[in-house]
Amino acid sequence: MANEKKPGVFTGPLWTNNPVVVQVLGICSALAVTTQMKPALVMGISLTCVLAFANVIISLLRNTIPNRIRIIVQLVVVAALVIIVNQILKAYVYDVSKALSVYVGLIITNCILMGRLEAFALGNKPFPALLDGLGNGIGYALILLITATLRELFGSGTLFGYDVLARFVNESGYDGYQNCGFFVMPAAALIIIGCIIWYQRAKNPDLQDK
Amino acid sequence: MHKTMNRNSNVYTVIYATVLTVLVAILLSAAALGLKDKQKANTDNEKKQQILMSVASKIGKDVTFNNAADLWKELKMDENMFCINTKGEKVDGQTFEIASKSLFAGGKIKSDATLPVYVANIDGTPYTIMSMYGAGLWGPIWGYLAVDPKGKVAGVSFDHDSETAGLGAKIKDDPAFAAAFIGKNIFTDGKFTSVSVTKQGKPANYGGDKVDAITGATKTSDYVGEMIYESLLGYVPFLQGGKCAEAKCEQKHENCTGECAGMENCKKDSCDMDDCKKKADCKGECDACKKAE
Repeated sequence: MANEKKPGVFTGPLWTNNPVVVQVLGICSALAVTTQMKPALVMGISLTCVLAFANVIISLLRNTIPNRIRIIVQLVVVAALVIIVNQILKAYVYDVSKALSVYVGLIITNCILMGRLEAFALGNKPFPALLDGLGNGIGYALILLITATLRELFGSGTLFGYDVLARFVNESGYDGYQNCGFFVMPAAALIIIGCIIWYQRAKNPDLQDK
Repeated sequence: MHKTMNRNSNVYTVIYATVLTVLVAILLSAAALGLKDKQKANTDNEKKQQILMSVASKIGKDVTFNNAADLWKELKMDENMFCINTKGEKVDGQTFEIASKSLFAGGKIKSDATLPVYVANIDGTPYTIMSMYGAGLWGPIWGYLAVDPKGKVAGVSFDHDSETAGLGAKIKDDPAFAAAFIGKNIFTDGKFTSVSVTKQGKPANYGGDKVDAITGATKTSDYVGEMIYESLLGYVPFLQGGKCAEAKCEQKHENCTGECAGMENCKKDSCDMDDCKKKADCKGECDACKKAE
């Protein structure tokens, strides 16, 4: 029984129950941090860690939380978690904390966090909650990385900052690859994610709305 | 006792909320207090890094977070820093601890401010490093500017709080921006003209030298130019050995704390005999001037 459940809890959110393209959560940050791959990766890893820990903590507390203040309690736990992690980073790995300080606000308010805490952690045991957190985080990171790859490659001609298409521009700038500015705009992220949803639902008719 | 208490009763809810708040507050305070010293060591190191980055081109290598402390010791920076007042005189103070933000009021240096000065002696030349601070587009911007004894910029470093990534943030992330300042003069014919930041093709704001603004970051670039001007203005009396040399000499001769180097070019509508050294500088009808020569 337990073995049948676990693969679903972890592998589900990677694709068939992906937080971004199926549950439609975390869209804002999927637009904001995907202009380049590096911030997308940082955000994906950070969210996975925070979500996994928060899921476990809330799951451990789930039988004690009063119903009327449960959203606030979730928020307090998440915010405290992120702040403490940031403080520790500032003390021990300063350069990482500087890179991450921009994202702190984006992580705390990410709908995926509140969504999964409410939908899963409150009603499940700690270990499944951990798996759910990891699965959703990685599923989110996956979509982010796909979007960021396309946006950075076509919008700036680079990948992780390294020239890929950009190197084809010669000195006068007229021959070779011209950056497609549209990909740097948030609208492009929405369209890319829309295309992913389209592909997924065409392949998997179960996901289509009835 | 708690197992039998109703989880959703008002009493339990209030107690739970209170206990949770207190616990989290203790946790966060403990983390902040316990880590404060280590964090200060990191921010101090970052400050040293930024100060030294302004002379990185003269040191000959990149100044990173990891080598900043060693370079600082090598250059004996702790022994070569002091405070000055806005008249250019040396005063006592904890140079390194001065927060540049506190020196300003309304975008201009306070007249009673104590400014930090760092001197880096590299290959026999003393480079004066000055602290800059200002308002950027979305948050504060700051930095350090180093000049050689003749007022030529040896280098500059910038940092910011929340400028836009890829645009305003380029003042820090794009080494070409800082590199453009090297070799510019902050004095022109004895007058302080700073280094402006203006659009490609446009002239400098105060006469003198300029660097090109960052494309797409017009506002941040403007603010950088303002920051440099207003911040360095406080150091000018010190750099000029006590002379008052404002580019825009709006003060009368009496208000200058030293010899006012810019008085000859100070345009006034009415000319008093005392101020009018040459007939050519009189802007308006100046009966008294007709006698002068």
